[in-house]
Amino acid sequence: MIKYPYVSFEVEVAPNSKRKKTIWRPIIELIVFCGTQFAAYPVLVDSGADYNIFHSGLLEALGGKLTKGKKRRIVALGNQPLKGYMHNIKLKLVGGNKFESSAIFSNQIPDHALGVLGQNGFFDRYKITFNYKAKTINIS
Amino acid sequence: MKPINWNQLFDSYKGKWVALEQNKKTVVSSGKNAKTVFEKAKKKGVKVPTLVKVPTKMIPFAG
Repeated sequence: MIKYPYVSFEVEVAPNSKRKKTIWRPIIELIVFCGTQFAAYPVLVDSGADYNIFHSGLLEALGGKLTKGKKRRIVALGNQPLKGYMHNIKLKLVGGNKFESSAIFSNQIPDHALGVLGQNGFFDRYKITFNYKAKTINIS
Repeated sequence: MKPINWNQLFDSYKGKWVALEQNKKTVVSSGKNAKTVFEKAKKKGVKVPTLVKVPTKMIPFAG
């Protein structure tokens, strides 16, 4: 089992508000592989997401070609469509083993969001336990 | 296990790609282009840079 801490942020309680509130999010770091290149990439562990969705810039940084993937369109909360390309990739949890997975890489991830780990490609491979009180995520 | 606080990082590099050292605190390169940021970090000897696209705004959201 691998244990990760939550990450805290000071967020505006409303757009353009000066009032801030501490928000805790289950963000973990993955190693993302593309060919011989790899980088660590922090992502939100999001049980509400159907797929892994990563920034296209990450793929390009690692030498991948975005449009070589399969075109995909998904819809986020608020009905906003997001276009991207599905790629088969290898991922590794820090402290874990490398595994085959897939992710949609997109240049349309909203500016306020990180990449996400979703049901296909992550939750279908691991048992994930969120402990908000202890601010830890256990993955086994 | 200590929770991580990235407020300072997120305040200073809004909207940019940032490469962090393995300590997850030290910024080794930053900019608008992820590939350039990654390559600069590798040239500086960081074996596994952490690449982050820093959000422009921190607001509550539902995914």
